[in-house]
Amino acid sequence: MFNLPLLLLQVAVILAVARAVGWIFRKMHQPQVVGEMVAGILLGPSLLGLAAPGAFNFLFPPQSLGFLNALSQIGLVLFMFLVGLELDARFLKSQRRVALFTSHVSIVFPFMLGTLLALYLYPRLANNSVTFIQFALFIGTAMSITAFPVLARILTERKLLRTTLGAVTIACAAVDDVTGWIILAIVVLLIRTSGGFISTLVTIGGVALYILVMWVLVRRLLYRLETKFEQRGALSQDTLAIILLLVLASSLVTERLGIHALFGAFLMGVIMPKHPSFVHALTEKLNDVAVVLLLPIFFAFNGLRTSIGLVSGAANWFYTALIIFVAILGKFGGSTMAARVSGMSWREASSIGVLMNTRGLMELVLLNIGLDIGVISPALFTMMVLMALVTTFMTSPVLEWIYYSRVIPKQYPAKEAETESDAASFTIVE
Amino acid sequence: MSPFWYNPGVRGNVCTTLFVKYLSTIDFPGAFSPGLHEIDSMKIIGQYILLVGVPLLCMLGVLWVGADLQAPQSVNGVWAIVITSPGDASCESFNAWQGDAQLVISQSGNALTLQFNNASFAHLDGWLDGLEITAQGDTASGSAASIRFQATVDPGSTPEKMNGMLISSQCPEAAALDGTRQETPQTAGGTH
Repeated sequence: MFNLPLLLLQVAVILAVARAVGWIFRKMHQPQVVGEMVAGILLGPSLLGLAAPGAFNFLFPPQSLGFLNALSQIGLVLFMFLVGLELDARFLKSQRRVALFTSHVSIVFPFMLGTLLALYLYPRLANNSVTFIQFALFIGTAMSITAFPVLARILTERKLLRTTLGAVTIACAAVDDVTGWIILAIVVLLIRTSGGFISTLVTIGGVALYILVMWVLVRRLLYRLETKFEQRGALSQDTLAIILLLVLASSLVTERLGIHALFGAFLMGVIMPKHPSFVHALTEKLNDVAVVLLLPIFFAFNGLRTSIGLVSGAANWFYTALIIFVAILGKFGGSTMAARVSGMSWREASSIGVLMNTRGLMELVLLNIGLDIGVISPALFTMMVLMALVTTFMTSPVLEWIYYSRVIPKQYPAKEAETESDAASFTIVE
Repeated sequence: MSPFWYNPGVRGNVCTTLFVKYLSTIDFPGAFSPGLHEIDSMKIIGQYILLVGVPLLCMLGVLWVGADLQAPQSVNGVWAIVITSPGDASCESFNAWQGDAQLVISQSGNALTLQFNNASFAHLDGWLDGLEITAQGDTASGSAASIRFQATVDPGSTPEKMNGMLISSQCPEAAALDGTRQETPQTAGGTH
């Protein structure tokens, strides 16, 4: 039964803890979003559930989680729309060649290592409700994903966006993100349509038709909205409402097609016109609600599903360490190798590797989809969440050590890199 | 002289030509050094094959090799359980187990966690060996009895069924149990 006071209390507690832990992490030179990810886990069975089971059961009784989940899913739909909105083909302009090559390698190499890891993990952590191929493709995707929004935030904060390193990395991350989500859509499709050949064909046909309609018809409509925006000089509530309706409709269609609502929201963002003032106006309207209010709820919900107690015993900790090792080797190793072959110095190449290794909340989104569709178990989910936390947490200090403190003072002494407009250009996450 | 397969004039090499054209848009050594942009196409192909093609082939190989791998039987999800107490009514350990119960199984490979949603609120840790489930733990209802759960899953039936017994350390006889699978887990925070 719906319990409004409890829901309000839950949201208030989540928001307070997320902001507090985020503040602590900012003091540790970490992005706020990393702190919010950790806050979610602290509120879950891993800490609050262990330290104060009474309070945990009072605050998050199982029957109340459906409402919390609904809020977090709406937040994710808006968030994925914003991520798609921030992706711009112009990222590829300046360093297109290096970025494409590095990006290809940084997807394929960790993907390959991920499938190799799946060979070992499948008999140990999966069950026969998923096939090896589905499992391996999912693990491969999880290994090759990069957190574009977190990366953009780190580059902006570190004033690296205008450097060669920043330009290559942001372009690589953009390509990686799009590729990663396409692969995940295929995996979800494979799992959800495992009923038969005909249903698979129907779904693929539906997806193709949906993309065609989005690209040809909806895109034109969006450009008209953008023209209206330019004429008025402001984003009217009617225009915003139409865009939100389209986001929700697109999410609904992809959910009904069986490739998850988030793909619809993401694609909608990708096809949006990219005029900076239009993107900025739209982001400004949606960002605060999505990121400040709803995203912490997703992190909390993610934390409620993450039970570190499931990773008990030496064997499980060994699997966790192995997953973290393979994740870092694949993404860091692959990106570094490709950037080095592309002619960058070892220091720059390894910095790209460190940055591309940031998985952040995009990994959490992906893992939650994996858990929802049953391709990974709760225990494997927890192990992968730990991997996402480690790879995200390590980015700032390792980047500081490898690159920022050594290269920036020498190479860009007078160039206090970004202007305020640069800082404002990536505002999805703090 | 270029090898025959790289000669754009040779019929049937359209794909190769397009591939080389595509690769020529990608920067390799010298990307940041003006003057080194004229790169040997063979080198481009070699590097791309080495860093993208080979891992891609390896990945396909792994998928092919692993296609026949077997994972443990799936038992995770929600099961409707009916527990029939033994004839000995004096055995209080089974009082909390009477009648219908809901059992939520969380599975990670062969490792299982069993959570009973009845008056016992028992939480058991178990293991799957083939189709045999064995689990044990304590009840959360205040009884000091330790509980042992043994059941065999019948994956051939629709919906899947299990039957077995529940053994209490304080009871001389075991209780019989029958289960029917209801759904795979709703993982919204509740089935860890």
